[in-house]
Amino acid sequence: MSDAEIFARFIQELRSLLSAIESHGPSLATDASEKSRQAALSEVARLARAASHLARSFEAEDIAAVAEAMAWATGQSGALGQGARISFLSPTLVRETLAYLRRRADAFGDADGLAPPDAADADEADRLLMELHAQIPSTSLAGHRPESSAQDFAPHRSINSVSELTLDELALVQSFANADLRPRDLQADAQLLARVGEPPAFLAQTKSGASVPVFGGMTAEEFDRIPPEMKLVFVKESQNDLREIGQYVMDFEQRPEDPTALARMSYLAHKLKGSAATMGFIGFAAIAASFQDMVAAVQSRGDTTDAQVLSGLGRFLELFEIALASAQALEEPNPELVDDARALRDAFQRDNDTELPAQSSLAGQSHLADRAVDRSHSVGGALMLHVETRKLDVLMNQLSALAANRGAVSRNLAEIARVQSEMQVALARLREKSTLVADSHPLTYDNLAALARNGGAAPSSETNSVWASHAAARLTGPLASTPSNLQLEQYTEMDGALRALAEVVADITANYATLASSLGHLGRLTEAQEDLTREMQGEAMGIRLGRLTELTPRLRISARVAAADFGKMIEFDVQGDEIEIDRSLLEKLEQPLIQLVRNAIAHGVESPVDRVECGKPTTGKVCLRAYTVGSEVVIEVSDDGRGVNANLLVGAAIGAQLITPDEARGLSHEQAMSFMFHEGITTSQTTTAGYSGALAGTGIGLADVATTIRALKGTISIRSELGKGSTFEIRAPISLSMLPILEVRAAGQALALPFAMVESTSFIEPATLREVHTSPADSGAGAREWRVTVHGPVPGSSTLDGVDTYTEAREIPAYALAETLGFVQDPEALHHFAVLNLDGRSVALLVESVGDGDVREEVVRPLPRRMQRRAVRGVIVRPEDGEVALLIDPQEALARRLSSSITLRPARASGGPRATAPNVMVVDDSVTIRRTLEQMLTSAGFKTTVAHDGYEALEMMENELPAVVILDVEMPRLSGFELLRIMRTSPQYERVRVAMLTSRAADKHREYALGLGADAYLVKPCPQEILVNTIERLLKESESK
Amino acid sequence: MESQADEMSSTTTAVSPFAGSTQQEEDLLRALARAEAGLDAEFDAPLAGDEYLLVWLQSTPCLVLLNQLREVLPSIPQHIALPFSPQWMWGIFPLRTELVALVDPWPVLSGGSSSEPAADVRFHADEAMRALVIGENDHLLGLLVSQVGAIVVLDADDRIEPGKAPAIDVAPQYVTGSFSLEGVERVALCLDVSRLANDILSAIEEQPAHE
Repeated sequence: MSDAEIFARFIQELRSLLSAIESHGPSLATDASEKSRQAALSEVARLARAASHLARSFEAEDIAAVAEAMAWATGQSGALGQGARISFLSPTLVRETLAYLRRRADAFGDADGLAPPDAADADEADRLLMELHAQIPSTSLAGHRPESSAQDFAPHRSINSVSELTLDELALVQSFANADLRPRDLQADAQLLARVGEPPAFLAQTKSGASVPVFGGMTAEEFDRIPPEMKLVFVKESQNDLREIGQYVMDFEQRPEDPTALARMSYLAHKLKGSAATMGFIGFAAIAASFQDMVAAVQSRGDTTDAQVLSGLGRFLELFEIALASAQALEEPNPELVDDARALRDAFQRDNDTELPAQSSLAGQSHLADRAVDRSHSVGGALMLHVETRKLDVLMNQLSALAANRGAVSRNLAEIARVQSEMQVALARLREKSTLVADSHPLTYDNLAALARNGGAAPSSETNSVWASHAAARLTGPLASTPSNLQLEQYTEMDGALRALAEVVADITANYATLASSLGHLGRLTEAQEDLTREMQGEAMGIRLGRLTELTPRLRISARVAAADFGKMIEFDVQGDEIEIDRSLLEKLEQPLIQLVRNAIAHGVESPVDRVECGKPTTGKVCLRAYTVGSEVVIEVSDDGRGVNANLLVGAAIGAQLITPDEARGLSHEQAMSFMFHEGITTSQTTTAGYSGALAGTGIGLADVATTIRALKGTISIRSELGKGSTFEIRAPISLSMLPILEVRAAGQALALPFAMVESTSFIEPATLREVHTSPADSGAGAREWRVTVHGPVPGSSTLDGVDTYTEAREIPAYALAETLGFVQDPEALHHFAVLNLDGRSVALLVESVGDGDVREEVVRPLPRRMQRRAVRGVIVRPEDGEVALLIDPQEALARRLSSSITLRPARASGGPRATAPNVMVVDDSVTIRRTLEQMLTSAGFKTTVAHDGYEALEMMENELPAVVILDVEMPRLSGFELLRIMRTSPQYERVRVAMLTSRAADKHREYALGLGADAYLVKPCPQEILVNTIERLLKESESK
Repeated sequence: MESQADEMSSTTTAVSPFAGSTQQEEDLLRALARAEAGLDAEFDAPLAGDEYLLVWLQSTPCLVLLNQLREVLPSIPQHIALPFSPQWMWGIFPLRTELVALVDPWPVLSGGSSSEPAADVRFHADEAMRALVIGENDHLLGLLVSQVGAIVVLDADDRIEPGKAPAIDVAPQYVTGSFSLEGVERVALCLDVSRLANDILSAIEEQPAHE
């Protein structure tokens, strides 16, 4: 449907409504029957409300206001006249009102577009509004409340009282619930509508199935699709808002003359009303609307010292609490609560002599009050439980402590096993020596008796051979033939000792076997406990995770509201929002994302007229795309709008004295764009650059958004092309409580770095490190700066056969990690460095050692408040030995140093998965390398798979052939060279390109690999751009073959 | 220092005097546990006064109310230095599920600047040193003491009011009184542990100078 058609339909619908109202004219006459008059009044009120909302959706404000006033007057008249045969509504006024509305509708039809009322019509509208509102004396309303609350309609200046609408009307109105619509340039819209044939925005689907053209509407189905989790977010926010209102009530009590508290309460009521209606809690919204009206009434009185005012405010807080309990159970509040709220409101709107209505029985009911603190409810049959994040953190800490304890148990077990092993050796020696002793002392009673029985001949057993010869030599003379018992007594003591020794040995042997068995069992139990602890940590982590989809409805709503606010036509797309991230992160990302979306619409996307002039479709595109890279979530907010003029940003930065003109000449494009996030750049300085410092309609600047993101240990950057659009990219850790880390040591301290930032690690070779700056001694430690040379292929230096040549590449700034933390570092002890990627800048941190090179996923425990340090993200307690390591925030640790340096590497190319991403397989036995490359390549837009050796790579290639293989050389089971040989002798791998990535830099290795059929040869560490460029080249070559 | 404890163990009204041996430490831990659980009456005769732990900070005998102690660690725990902290803060260490700041309270107690790093105040650890854990939740401190003496029961009537006994090297705001103990040459100072802890916790917060 074209704009013109939609507009024609609007006129047609409006005329139909007016005709329907006119048809009820005879029934409004005073001589009509009471029944028909009441029915007519009710119907006229309903139709007039529909006309009002329809007109407001097209921003025909004067029609909307007059129709709304008519609806109110007829509604009140009908309610008051019930059973009394009286009417406060003049039939003449009804006719005059209808005449005005029809004249205005005709004017639209004749002009073929929206036009504001002329001076005469404006005067007429004012008169009608005044007379319609004057029809019902305010003092006569008390005691004449209509029975049906849904038909009640108070004299509002806007359409905020959504509780009083029918469902169909509601579907229309809710789309504007949060919108504080600003007057639009109707003339420009009219011109636009006449020029283009595209729909203005959205078609709102009512519950009856009708399509209503509106700007920025939301369908009833969309409301139904709002997930319970989202509604619970509303509950949580509302709890905070109500707490704040409670605080302002107390402030008001102490300083009633100060208008601030009432103003803030009004604002919060407005906010609650909008968000409740948006989430479908209409009753709650109605209570909020009544509260806002009451506050407005108090404000208008001037005399705020009325004792009843505080009582009324308190009563409203009670009603809110009970309504909130219902919302927590995903239910609407009892309608009586809404009635109570309206009664309270009306009491304050009547006059200064407020007499509060009797309190509803509901307000004091204990079971409802109990529900206010009920933390469980059922969603889809499953019991849901709300738990504070803090409690989950405690659980995580306890699990971490459990893991550390288990580590201690393991260490003790290992020690016991060592002792056990020594015992085993000692026991064997004991047995051996026992046997030797027995053999060396043959004159035991048994042996002598045996000797006697044999007539002096030695027994035949081999074991007795030693003692036999010995005994035979000694038993001579009279003893040789018949040893008596008396003579044998001298031997019994030895005999007993030997027997006891044998028994002890036997006992120890038996007990040792039992001990060994028990220890083995204990070891298995400990392993099982370790697995269980790990699983529990995973489960606890899972509890903390939430899906980004929870934010999607609010983002969509914000987009539509912003489109309405700024007169833009927008198609808002969300991709990848099913990813899971830490719930606390999710909550904190909400506002920055909303601001970025609003900003993109307000300042990025051009007006429809401007877009037509630029040759763009009238509907601008704003897209939110989310994906994960390693342990980070990346969220992009992009638009196809006007883009950002980097030169104007630089000019603004010079104007703000952030940089000098000379420095400006050396800035890269990325560095210039980074001024977007600098608080020194004000709105006035950059308005012409496209985006303003202050975000659309919020007063919040991009600097504030950046601050929020950095507080989450994330980063924000922008890519923009003038005239084509901009993309804001947020990177943040998926979880704040469990992170992959790389362990290092510096100044004797155990430290950890977020692995997501680590590009590579290496030994320091003296020739590659040079100190470039040392501050005077009085500046303290930490002022030294080095340059370290990292090796890698030089871009564009490929040889004719397409193989990148290996050469020294570039110097990057380097700092001693310990010194960035204020520790004293012995430079002689620095043996390693880790290259980190900080917002696209490569920076080396010099350390004493780099753990075992493996990535470890560890629970990060936050520092207690008084011990928090900006450069420290938290603490890790190593499970294996209980040693504490500080998790460093390199960005913060280097903040002062990097802010003074402008000679840094440009940011890397834009990332994110592509629509048809080529598959790149990384084959490397180092988990560090695998994870680094996976992260690097995924961020560059490749689909990445990993294998830990050649054998696994072959297995994986049975299922899917990659386009490119990044292949290490030395690997277990099947080396890189062996895999390469197999691939180049098997036709099925013919199209797979292979790039060797190895630390073997010698020419002989390179030549060997090329001889086997490698397509490229790269040497570790390899910068991302070199790796990506090589893969891109190989892909192009593959396509061309 | 050790001689002071030995001498005192045989002459004061100590409930379970000890001078650092394992058995004595166990006695202390048991006493702390009993005090925490309120079980003293079941195991011991009724006490005619408040229970204090006698400790030495440098060479100054100090008394800490037993009910202000959470536990006494039998050795200096394995810890890690925290950046941008006063020099007298040795670092932090995990105590079960919590993180505790390990500090040498002497520079603060002796009236030195609590917010600026003090030079050369860290004394060398030796076997007699212990850490007293005080505080709760996010406000846990491990106070390093040179030596732990005995648990003593002291009658409040015997307390010397603040200012009436010389507190030569301890800032007066941290002294709530003192006692003259048999076998201890100097008067033992009763420490206001809460105030000391508050000042220390404030002082270990990251200072703007590091921004």
